[in-house]
Amino acid sequence: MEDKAIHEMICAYASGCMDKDNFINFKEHINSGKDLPYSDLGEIQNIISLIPIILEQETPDPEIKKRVAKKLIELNSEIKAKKKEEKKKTEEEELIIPTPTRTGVSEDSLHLKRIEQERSDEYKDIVPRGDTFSPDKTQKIDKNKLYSTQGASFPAGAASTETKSKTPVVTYLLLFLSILGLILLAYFFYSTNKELETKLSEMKDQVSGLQANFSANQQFINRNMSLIEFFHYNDISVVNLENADSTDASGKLFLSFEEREALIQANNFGILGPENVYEVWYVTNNVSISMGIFVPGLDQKYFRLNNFPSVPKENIELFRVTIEPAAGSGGPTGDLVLFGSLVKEQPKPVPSSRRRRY
Amino acid sequence: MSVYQELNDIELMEKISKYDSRAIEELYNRYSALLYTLIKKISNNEKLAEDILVKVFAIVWRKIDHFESAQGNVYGWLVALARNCAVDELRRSRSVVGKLDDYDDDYEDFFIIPEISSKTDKLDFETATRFKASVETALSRLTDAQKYVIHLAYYEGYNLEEIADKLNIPVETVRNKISTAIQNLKDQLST
Repeated sequence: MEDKAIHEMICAYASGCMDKDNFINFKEHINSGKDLPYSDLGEIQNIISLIPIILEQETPDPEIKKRVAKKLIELNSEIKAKKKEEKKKTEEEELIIPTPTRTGVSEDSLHLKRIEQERSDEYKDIVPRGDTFSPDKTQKIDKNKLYSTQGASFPAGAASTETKSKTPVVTYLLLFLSILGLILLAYFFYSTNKELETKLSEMKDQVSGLQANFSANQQFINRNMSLIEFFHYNDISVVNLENADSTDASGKLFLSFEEREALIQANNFGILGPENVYEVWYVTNNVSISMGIFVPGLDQKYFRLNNFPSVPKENIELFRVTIEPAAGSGGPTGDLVLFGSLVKEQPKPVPSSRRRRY
Repeated sequence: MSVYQELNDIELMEKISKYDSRAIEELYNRYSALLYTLIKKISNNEKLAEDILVKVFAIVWRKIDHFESAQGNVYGWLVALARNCAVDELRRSRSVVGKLDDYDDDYEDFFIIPEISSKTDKLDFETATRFKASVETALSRLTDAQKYVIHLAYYEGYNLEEIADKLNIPVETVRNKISTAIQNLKDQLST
């Protein structure tokens, strides 16, 4: 009689015509893994699932496949978020290390079993049962079994004694390892620091060397800046000045007749008193015309002479540098220091093809 | 023939569990006609049947971890899932508003996603198709009353009490008729 009732219940469940309450009870019973002819249930589920195989199959609109694909794509982000949440939850749970028991079952797994049991007990109280199906007895037995298993799994006293005896050794070992670790760490930091200090010192030396080079280059540029700037002009004539006295003075005169600018290079010029200056002249038609004055200092080598009086360069016979009073003079009156003249340009050879035949 | 077409149902489900979209496409190609026909038979509405079919494959994709590959009854699981979805819609359309539970994740897990007993033969689409003629014969040998109660339960989604009310017979008689009909089917198929 009871077998018949269970069979009827299985048939109702498999064919999907159980009312809600009985369905909940039956499913809870299956989930709890309690006594049931599961092979019968599986067989009947298979038979029921074969019922629609006799229907004349109709292929759905191809658009439905596209809709399914679209839906699955939409679900992907939801699934990812869910997985992420589950992973996070698992990681959080793993942080609580379960206490191993002698049976190899962790406290957590037993706790989960307990929760499952409590959940099924909740349903048992809330949901009214049908007349033909009542798994209450088996549930009660299993509940007791579960709690008795729990009791056997926690030999609390023995475990704590064993732990206490091991504690000092473990503590000393941990302490020793910690100190050793700290020493190694300190040595590592010390050696690394020393190495870095050496490298830093080397780099500082390199920087100092580079700075000195840079400074020397800068000084060279500053000293020769006037010459560099002067060479921007297109028409530059150079006059090599010759020494006219017994001093070591020498020099060159650079001229731009278009710009009426000149630049004199003064090497080893003697330092003059405050009442005298050096004056540069050009001589044309036996008349000396002043181009400008300059006062050499210790570091300065080039002196600019601006706006000298305009004259065609072919008319210049001579250039000279004399020592003159600072107040100025109408013509050269002092000692001649240097002199020189423009190098006459050689006429360019006429190409053979252009030569006129006589 | 693609590699996926050569895979059996369980292999496809294993690949779907790793979110392999080509595997679920092959599952759709294999099962969509059967599931659509079943859903349409229950819902009797083409548009609704299409929506439910989309929903069924979405559940497969989302809740694939509810399918136990070791148990391996892909055919039974999918047919039951499609039937449950369609019947749930039908019951909701018949029910007074507010009387049925809200459709949420928990509801879906408990009432919609089927649990198939592992202690049985594994059915896949190919095997089930081979049974078609036998099932037709077995069903044709049932009495009209047995056929009708099976129809009311399976396709119309009525529960025992509702069938009893409809036929004006006791619940026990309905329960007995369904049980006998299934037993007859079982006997016919095993001969």
